[in-house]
Amino acid sequence: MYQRMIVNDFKKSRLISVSTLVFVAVSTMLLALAAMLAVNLTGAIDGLMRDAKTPHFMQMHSGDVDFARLEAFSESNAAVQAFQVMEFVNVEAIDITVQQVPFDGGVQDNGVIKQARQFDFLLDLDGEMIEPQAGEVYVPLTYMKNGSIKVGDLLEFYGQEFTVRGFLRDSQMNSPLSSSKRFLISDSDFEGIKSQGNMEYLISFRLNDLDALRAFEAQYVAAGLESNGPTLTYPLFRMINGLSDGLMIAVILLISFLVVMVTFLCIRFTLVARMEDDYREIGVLKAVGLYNRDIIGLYLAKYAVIAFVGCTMGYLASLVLRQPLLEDIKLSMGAYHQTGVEVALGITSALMIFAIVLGYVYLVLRRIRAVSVTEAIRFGAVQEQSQMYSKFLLSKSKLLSSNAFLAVKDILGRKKLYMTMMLILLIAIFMMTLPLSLYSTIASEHFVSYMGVGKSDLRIDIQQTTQIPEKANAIASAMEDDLEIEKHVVLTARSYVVRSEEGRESRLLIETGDHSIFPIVYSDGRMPIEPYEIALSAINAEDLGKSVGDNITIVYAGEGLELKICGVYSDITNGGKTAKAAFADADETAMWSVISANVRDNSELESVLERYSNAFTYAKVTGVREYVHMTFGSTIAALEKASAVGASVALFLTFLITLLFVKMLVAKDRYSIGIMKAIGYNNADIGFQFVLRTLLVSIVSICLGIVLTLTLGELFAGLMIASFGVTSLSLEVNGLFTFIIGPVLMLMVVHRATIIGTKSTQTVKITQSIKE
Amino acid sequence: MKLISASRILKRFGEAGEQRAVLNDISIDIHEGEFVTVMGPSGSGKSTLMYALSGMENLDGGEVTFEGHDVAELKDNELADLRRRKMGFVFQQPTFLRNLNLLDNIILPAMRENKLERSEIVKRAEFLMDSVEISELGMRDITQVSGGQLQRAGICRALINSPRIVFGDEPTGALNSASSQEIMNIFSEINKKGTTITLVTHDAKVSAVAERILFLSDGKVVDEMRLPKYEGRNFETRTLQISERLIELGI
Ligand SMILES: Nc1ncnc2c1ncn2[C@@H]1O[C@H](COP(=O)(O)OP(=O)(O)O)[C@@H](O)[C@H]1O
Ligand SMILES: [Mg+2]
Repeated sequence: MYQRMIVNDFKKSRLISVSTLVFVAVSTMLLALAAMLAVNLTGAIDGLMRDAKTPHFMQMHSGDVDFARLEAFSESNAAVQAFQVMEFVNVEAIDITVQQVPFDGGVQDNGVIKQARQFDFLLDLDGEMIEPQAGEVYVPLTYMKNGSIKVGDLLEFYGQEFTVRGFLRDSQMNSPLSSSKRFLISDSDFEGIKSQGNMEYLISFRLNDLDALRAFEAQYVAAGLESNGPTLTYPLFRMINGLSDGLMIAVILLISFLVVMVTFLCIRFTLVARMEDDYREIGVLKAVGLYNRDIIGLYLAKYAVIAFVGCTMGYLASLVLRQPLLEDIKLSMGAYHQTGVEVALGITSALMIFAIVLGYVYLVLRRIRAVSVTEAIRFGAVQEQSQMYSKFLLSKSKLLSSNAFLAVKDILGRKKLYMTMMLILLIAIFMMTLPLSLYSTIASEHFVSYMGVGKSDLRIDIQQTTQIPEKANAIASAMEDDLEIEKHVVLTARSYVVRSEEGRESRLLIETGDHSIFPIVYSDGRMPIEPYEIALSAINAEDLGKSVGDNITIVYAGEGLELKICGVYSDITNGGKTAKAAFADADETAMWSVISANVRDNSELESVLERYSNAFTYAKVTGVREYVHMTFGSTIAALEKASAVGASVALFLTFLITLLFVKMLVAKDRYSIGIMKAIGYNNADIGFQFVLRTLLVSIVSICLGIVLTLTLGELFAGLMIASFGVTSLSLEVNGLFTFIIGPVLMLMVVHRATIIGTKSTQTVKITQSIKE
Repeated sequence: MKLISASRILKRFGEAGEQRAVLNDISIDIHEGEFVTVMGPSGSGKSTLMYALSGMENLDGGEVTFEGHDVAELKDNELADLRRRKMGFVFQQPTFLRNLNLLDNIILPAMRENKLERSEIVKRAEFLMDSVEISELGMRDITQVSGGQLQRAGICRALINSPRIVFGDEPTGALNSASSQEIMNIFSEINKKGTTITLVTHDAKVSAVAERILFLSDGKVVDEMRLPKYEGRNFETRTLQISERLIELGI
């Protein structure tokens, strides 16, 4: 009997059944995709880092290295499993040409290296360790992805020619987010080129137990070993490797969560409407002695079939869609398939959706228990409450045309029904605007200021050279006299010793200078202004166990100097371990200087950049926009993909839901439509009433949706971007899309769906509908 | 003057192959100011004839003209305009929008017409309601009044735009004889002021106020009876005459 009833029911309400099926399928697909991508990503990261034997601890150092002392430290430290010092030769962009043309990957710190012997291997695209022949070079994958270098290209470093043999995966520096890029050449070529560029040492350790990392870091600092450069650790490498794809997965997860909510709302409103229609039948079934259980079972059986088919379809779709989305992970990190786990997770997601959908249907169906037999048989339909709005009268309304009045009256009288539609559209709006706002936030020039870099037009880096402060001052005084420069500032970083209350010492990189010219965003407190103030990066603050208002003591000019912590900020530069202070220090031994500047006329930026990079060959000159593009490009692209998916899913949902909703309303309103036609309302009048109803509801949704995006959205976005180490964030809303294009698209889709959904009102025959 | 003219109209129902002619070659003229009733056994096609004359049902043959225009030629919107401006229709069952109160239901066609000031429309509705003695009920929901009161409201709605003709499909069918008589008096009053009336009924007392009675059987007009215009006199005699004719015809 069930089988026949289900088949009949499908025929009777095809659109509802199909839509529910589609929603269940899309929910399953997205959830399964997010789950599969997530295991794949973590699997791939783990695989790559395992095969490449990524260092657990790495200290970059420029300057002399006392090998014997390091050797001794490593020997005596029980935590150390392996230790090596690699030579990395920095090559400035102007010393690199690709096919005889100067290289434009200048914002990264490019350099050449030879293959490691113990660990930290550079792998080819098959995951094998590369052994380059003389005259060959392997190029970081990033440059393949952005298309700047191809296999077979001729590369020159300092005029020495190399042929691009292939691309390499670098488990540390794969991501554009890490600022250094390593080119691999043969050992013999490396010996030849070594003397030409600035040498930087990568002092790396593998530990027996990763849990000992923190303790080891402290021991390294305490031993007073080489530390002129950033410190990087295994967890940081892991995080940077996963960020771009991780963010995409997070967005898919968010969208899938929203779609699940839409599915629930959709089930709720179709099911409740259906039960209202069947009110009398339910009464009759009860009257002839069926248990509530039996009646609930009749409805549940249909949804079980729909949910089963939907979940299966969604799961299969996720298997297909997984491939293109995995492309990037596969290319960057290799195919570390865990097919078993993935399949199991996909099936688990599908089962989860199946179970919660049926659970929810059961919850909605429980109201069947409350149907009273006598009332159901006597009155047939549930009495709609109109009492509340009996004050809203056509005879009293001054402004509204009768069509507009009827539309508004209908909305007020069926608040619950329209509320459901409004909620669904609200979610759709959210789905459309949130990923996009996230995208524009990260793509915005201001984003860097959340991450420890002030927003300026250009920056000039001076590092790995001698007399850094002097060189910086030379550039600064040139800028002073430069009419095209609007303002500029020099920040110089030095390494200071910090003394804890118990007298333990550690090192702290402090950038000194005027931090008010190109301010960054502080998650807590404010910038240092007075000479006795200091701001710490979030990681340093945590490591030192300090917060705003506390004091720390550093060694300055041989004496203890007490500084007050006035602010904490997020930082992605230099492994996140920096500090900013306003005191003056003329010491010659600086680690680097950064000169930030704004140009007066933005169209002159290119020529200014060129002027300075020609005039000061020892400095690295970059436009900040270009820097952002190179650094966050892949993240931005991933988010762009995700927001395109979000917007399409949202518009599709909007169309389907509106169509479904309107068709249901038309079916329920046949009687009223017949009456209106009989007393002289034409098809256009009736169509207009429907359009007005759905448009009014969607306008309310759009307004609420925008408010929600601006408030709740910031919370969501904050959670997601927290993975960057950014702790406080104000969402940069894409105004044009959020306020204009998005709403207009949405209204157009709603309008179209309503027109299509009300087509059938034109054929409503007065004589038949009135008899019903 | 001819207001409506139906010539050789044909209406069939049913699946192809076993179709049945419900209106079988009917020709009738209804003149301006006339009071016509249609009588016949249940299923003889009376309602279908009303719908056909008012342009709510398409025909399978023949034509209906209203003020000389072929109704079938009119566009959808023109038909709607016609129904709203020139016709009023009172159904056998009360047909109202459930979410509007009585007054709003009555003024609905006038508000769409939007010719008069809104206060004028409400005034006219109140006048009409007063004349059918439901002036107190305007603010009531349609579930809060009796069947007879609803039927009166239906008449008010049919008259709100001062139509040239009012159709009634057994407007008193659901009422007891006292209210039925009152409703008929109302129709008679309206007719005296010049509005054409065409009613379906199977009650001889209802037909007694008409001046022309058409007898319908199996989709054909089988007989026609003319009476002098009703002046409030000879009601019993007229009723008797009609009853006798019904018996003669076996209806
Ligand atoms: N829409 C329809 N579809 C099929 N048959 C119909 C339809 N409307 C009316 N009929 C049939 O036409 C005949 C005449 O109906 P109707 O005009 O309502 O009769 P009356 O009003 O005289 O009782 C009846 O037999 C009825 O069953
Ligand atoms: Mg009838």
